[in-house]
Amino acid sequence: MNEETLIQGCLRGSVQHQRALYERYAGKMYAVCLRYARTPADAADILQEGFIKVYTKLNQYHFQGSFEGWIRRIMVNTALRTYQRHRYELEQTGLERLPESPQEADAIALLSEGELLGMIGRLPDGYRLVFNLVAIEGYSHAEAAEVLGIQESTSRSQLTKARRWLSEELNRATNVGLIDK
Amino acid sequence: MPEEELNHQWRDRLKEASVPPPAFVWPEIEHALQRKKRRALLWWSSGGAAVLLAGAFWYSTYLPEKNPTVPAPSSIATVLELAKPSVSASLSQEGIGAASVPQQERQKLALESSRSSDASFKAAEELPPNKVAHAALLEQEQPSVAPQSRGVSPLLPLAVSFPAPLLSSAKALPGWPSGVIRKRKEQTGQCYDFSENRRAWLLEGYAGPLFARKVLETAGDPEQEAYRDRRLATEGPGWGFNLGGRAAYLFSEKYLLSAGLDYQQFAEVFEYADPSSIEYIIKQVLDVSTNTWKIDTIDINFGEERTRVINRFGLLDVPLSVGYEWRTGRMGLRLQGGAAANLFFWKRGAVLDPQTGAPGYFTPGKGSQSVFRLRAGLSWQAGMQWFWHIAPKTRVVVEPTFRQQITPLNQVGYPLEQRYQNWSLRIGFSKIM
Repeated sequence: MNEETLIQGCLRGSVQHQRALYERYAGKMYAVCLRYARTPADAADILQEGFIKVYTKLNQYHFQGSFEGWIRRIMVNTALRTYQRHRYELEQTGLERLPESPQEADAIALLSEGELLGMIGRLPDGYRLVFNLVAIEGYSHAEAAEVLGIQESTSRSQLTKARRWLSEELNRATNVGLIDK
Repeated sequence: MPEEELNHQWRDRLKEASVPPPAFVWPEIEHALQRKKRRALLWWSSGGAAVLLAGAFWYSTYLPEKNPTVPAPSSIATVLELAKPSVSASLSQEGIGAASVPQQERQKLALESSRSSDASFKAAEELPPNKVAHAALLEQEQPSVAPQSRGVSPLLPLAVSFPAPLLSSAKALPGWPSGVIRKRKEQTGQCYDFSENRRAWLLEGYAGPLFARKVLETAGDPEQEAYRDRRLATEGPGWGFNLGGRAAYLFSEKYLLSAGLDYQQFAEVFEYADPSSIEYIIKQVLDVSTNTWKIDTIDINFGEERTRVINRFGLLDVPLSVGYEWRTGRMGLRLQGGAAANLFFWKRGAVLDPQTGAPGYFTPGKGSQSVFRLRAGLSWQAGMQWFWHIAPKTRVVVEPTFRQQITPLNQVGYPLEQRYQNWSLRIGFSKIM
């Protein structure tokens, strides 16, 4: 079933088409949600809320640009709204002291997707959101700051701290030989 | 390595990442979509019913009456009424007071004089055909007036000065001029003649607010009284709406049998604060030396956990009633009562669990506890309807109604018996067929 048929079916309210659309994109979108959520349970909630929005706002998709990109934006926005709703405090854990790791790039290449997602999931909330928006989604610091309602300088600082935190995690993994292959 | 390059590396690894979601997510989505669809259907049907009622009201109030049992209104007479000051002024100029000339004579006089004026007659011709016909009817119905009115022929030249622009303006008003509507309402004061038509079918539609009072009984078990008190303390009263329609058969002039469909929906707030809540914030850490996940307790929060849920109930019933009505002039009163059988009962929300004492959802398919039955069973109801004829075959009705559930809503074996006493104020229309 091609994408257009799938969308048209969903617009008609066909449950079969809705299910097919879910099955096609749920895996990728759950990975997106996992990156933003605190826990897998929160990620499942975001995925559910996001897909309901996808079905109800489908008439606003005008077949311009990538459909997957459109769904992804809905998931990211839903995750961000969840974050704003819960008002998680940005955690400060004195990560400024963590050393930078030159092996970060190698470690990223060697670790599995699940392990990388697990690491991102363990990032403190503030770091995780900025890291996802800027490093993975490709937002500028100005855009990320606007979306999260923080200063641009805060966004930069959070990203630096997130990177150091991840670097430490990757470093630890490298030193104990988990990814020493 | 430059920051942007690292970003690219993360992006390349994770942008296309895919993780199978938990199996429970799709059923939840499907359930939520169905709920949205049902809600949309309800809104559309409520909107449609409102439009139909508004249409029926407009039709019965503003369109010309075609019922031959009632003398039709004379629009020409109304137009004359609009022109009355001018005629009176003309009469005053001749030294004859308006009050000294009988009303019918003045109307007849003005009717004739308007026909004698080209401009005025043209204006009258441009009125809807039925109104001109009404004017003719008026002439036929008042034969005794004609000779007398001819007797006041000296006034005719003055009456010819009947202002044509006034007639034109009456015609030019959008829809029907308010004067016409007022006049018509006054003249259609007579009701449907029930003494000649001792049997009739009535179709009725109504909507209005509803108050639901919950009654919880311990089914004779005093040990459950504490649980009942906690339930009552955590659940507020219900407010909602009631809409429906019915067909009633009136016989022997005053007795009625009716059946229809009635929908009641109401919501109540469930609020619970757990004073001894403990929140454990736990994170899993991967021990890379053994490649195993370890649970690491990071924080414990003590405090009060609040739960607030809007409990919603909807009941679609088939009510069967008997009634008796009194009529006087255009208004009347009907007493009616009977039983209602439930067709469909939906529920969503949470209450305290009788076993654990903690909040638990009872929403079918989602809830952690089974509280309510599939259907609500039987109830009895009684109401008093006040009605007012806005047309011989159309009534506006206002109907305070009380309904009490006979069979409890909860499942057999549940420690409490839960029923509702619903008070509703129904406002609607009744059409005699």
